[in-house]
Amino acid sequence: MRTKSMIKGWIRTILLLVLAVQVTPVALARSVDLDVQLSTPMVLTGAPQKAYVRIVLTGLESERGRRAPVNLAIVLDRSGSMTGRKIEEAKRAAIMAIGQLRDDDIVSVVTYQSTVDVLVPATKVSDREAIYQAIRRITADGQTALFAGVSKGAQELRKFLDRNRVNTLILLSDGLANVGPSSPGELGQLGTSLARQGMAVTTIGLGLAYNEDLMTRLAMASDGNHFFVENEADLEFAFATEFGDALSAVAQGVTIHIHCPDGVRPVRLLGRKAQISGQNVHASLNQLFKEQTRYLLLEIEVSAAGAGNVMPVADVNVAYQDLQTGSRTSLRGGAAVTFTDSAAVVEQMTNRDVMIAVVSQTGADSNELAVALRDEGKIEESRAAFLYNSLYLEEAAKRWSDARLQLDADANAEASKNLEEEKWNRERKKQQELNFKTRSQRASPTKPKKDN
Amino acid sequence: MKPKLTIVLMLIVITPLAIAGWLGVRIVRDEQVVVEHQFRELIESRLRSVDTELLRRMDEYGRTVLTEMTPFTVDRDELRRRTRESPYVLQYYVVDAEDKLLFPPVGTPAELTSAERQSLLRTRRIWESGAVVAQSSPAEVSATATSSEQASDWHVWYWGNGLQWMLWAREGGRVHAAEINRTRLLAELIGSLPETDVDEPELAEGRIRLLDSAGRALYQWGSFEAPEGERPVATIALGAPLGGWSLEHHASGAIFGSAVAGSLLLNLTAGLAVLAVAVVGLTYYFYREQSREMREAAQRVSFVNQVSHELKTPLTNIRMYAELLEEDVDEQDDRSRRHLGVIVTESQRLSRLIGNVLTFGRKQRGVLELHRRPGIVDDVLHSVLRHFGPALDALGIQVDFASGARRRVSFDPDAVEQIVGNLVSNVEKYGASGKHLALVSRQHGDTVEIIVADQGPGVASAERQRIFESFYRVSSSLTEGVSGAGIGLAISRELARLHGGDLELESSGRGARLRLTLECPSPEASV
Repeated sequence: MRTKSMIKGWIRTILLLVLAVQVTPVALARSVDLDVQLSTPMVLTGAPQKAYVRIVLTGLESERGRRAPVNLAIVLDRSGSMTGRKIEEAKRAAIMAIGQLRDDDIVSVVTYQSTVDVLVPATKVSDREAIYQAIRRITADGQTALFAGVSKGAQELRKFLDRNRVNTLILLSDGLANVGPSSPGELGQLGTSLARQGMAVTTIGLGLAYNEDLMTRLAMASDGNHFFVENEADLEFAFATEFGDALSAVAQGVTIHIHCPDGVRPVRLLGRKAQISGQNVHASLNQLFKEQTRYLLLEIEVSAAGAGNVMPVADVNVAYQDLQTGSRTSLRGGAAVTFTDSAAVVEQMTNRDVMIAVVSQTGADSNELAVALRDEGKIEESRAAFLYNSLYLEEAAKRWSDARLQLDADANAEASKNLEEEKWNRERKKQQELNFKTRSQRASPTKPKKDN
Repeated sequence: MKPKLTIVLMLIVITPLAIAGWLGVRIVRDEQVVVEHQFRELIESRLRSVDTELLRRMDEYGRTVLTEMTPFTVDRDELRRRTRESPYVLQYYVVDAEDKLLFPPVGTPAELTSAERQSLLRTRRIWESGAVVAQSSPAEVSATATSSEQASDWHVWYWGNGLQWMLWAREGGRVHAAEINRTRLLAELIGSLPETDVDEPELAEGRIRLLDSAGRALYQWGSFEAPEGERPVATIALGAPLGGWSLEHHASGAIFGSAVAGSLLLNLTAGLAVLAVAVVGLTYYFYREQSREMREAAQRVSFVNQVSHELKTPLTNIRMYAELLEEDVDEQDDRSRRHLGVIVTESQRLSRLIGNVLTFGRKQRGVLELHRRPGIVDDVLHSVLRHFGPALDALGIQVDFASGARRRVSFDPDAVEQIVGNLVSNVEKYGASGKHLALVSRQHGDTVEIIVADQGPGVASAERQRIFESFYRVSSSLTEGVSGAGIGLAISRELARLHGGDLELESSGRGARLRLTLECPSPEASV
């Protein structure tokens, strides 16, 4: 009898929980799907508990089959180090990419060395041949005024800045910025500012001489993508991927507002910047592509309550510019926890997907730490940190049987073998790219697997 | 003579060219200074216009931020929303009339977002210094002010990587402030500046740099690649609120060169070349003229020499036969004797003249030499006086001969006869009015001294030296109608010097007094 009633109680709570979680409204023909998940829908009583809320946004297949027009600025490094095959491949990749655009798309081409040239001011793509001619004439020479290049590229983007266009700046660099501001912090600040006006900056680091911190910070802050392209022959792939993304964007200017009721304290957002003030969390995403899933991971602290109590922990409001309809759309969702005395129940009810995300983001944090240790020259401490992180990820990968976590574990193990001076530069760029992909939940960089 | 002439000719050519060249270089240099100055002024005015453009852009940025700031609010959520969404501002602030921060809510630190904490760290010095309200704005938003801009102002401070800006505005005793997103501002300023290719042609070969307060290049344009560490042509400091930043212009030295070289340098070089051709041509012409005249003069001299040579033999015959005839003529036949005397005298005069011309010719050719032989000087003097006897008698000149050189010495009697003949002839020609000729000869050791003096008008002091120059003739009323070639005294002095002595005009109370000295060793010593 006792067992029977216990099972009944469980079933009841599960049903309640399912109801609480699945309050997402069902709208017809929308471009974005919202799902709010909890790491532990059931928490222990007695003491304040830590939990994670995962807000999942999924870009949906366009029903009308018509993509949004794009506004692209291609900013190419033509400093002396680009001489030879690099510049030729970059020109080829840019021309190939522009070839994918429609006549009503906007494109501009900016090159920079010691100074900046706006080669093709923002214009409709209708006269392709003139644009190609301008690109073919590019020659490499001089220093690297990266900041000025981005400034001028942004200036061109702004000429046709439109909430209903996909506004993206693609920055290619193979060297260290040596004219103008060049710290990752400064470039990050610029990226944040551009993102707030709906401009994303995707950075492509070519070769082994660029500053990966600067390039990833800029991409991260503006919510663009980042590619580490070691060999210039792979430039075309990076451009194709980036253009493919831009051409498949379904939503833009996504703002997420999470309100936590009293008794729940929002602690931090994992792997991403947000404004957390009191019970309110504000975050944003720049673009969401078709079939792409991106999430926010919020750590919360739930104050103690008695068993059986149900406590709403997050009220989520998402607003975005729907590129299909051209209008601002909003979605609403929420989550609640149920208190229980049984640790086994908590364990059993733990959400696998959320935990994988938590492990993944925690792994990214540890990875960053290990890189920082190597930057300080503490090779052995760094190796230990990479190995420890690899073990942590591997264990989680086995527990949740997740291939992606296993890949991360392998990458960290690989990093621990490449800490020596001659291997580290390349490895660091690889790690920063991986870290970037984990944090921004972008597609894996592996070339043949072009999927989200 | 020849190398001297070459040097003179070279000087004639080089001197004007050198002077013209020096002046040319001076002109070019002056012109260069002027061009450089004008260029620098042009550059500076260009930089000032860039400064104006930057300040205008800065102003625009300020206005955009001010638009974001209004309507002014103290609502925390609204201020957070604005901070979250603003591309231009990092953090909004509100300070109340008592200089207390209303926003961000520093009173409840737990409420602060991480971005607010970081911003407070950057701006702490501003809030701690207090008196924000007092120094915030030039004027309270007055009732008459239609635009809120008048009450806004920039506040600049240093933090981290350089200048930071805060825009603040007053409203109802409160100060609303916005911490500017520095990198976005810089990107906007760069967006308004030109690209590599500048339209202005005079600046095309230049490079303008925008430098921050630490002298780092923030942005640059223009196609000239300035070498590292090169000094700029012009630098200006930017006005507030960009004070501390500067603009500098780099240009290659060629930009001055090309401006000057293009016109002036070419003209000057062409001018110099023309001048050089003209000077060389003229010099060559004068050289040609000069050498032709010299050649002609030499031809004339040789002609006169030849003629004189040809005249010498017949004249000697005339003289000899006239003297022979004089001995044959009857003592009483005064008339015939007188006529013969004239013939003898005139032929003697003519042979002296020819002798002088030939001596002069030898001297010109450099073959003048003495033929010393033993003899008595006074014998020669007696012979001369004898030859001149009739002529002097005819002029009523009384001759006093104090003979004192009777010792036998080695000398050239022909030369001495020629010298003394010339001197006596001069007395006959110029000093006849004194009616007196004093001839004195002395011997001291090897030196023979002969003095010829008259009581005539003498020689003017200005002409005392010049009478010994060739072809010089004292020009005065006294010499009118007197014949002479003007070479007698010159030849005489030359011969005297060859003789180891000299011929000088001695100062005397009255008339001319010429002193001839000759080195005449005894014949035994000379052999």
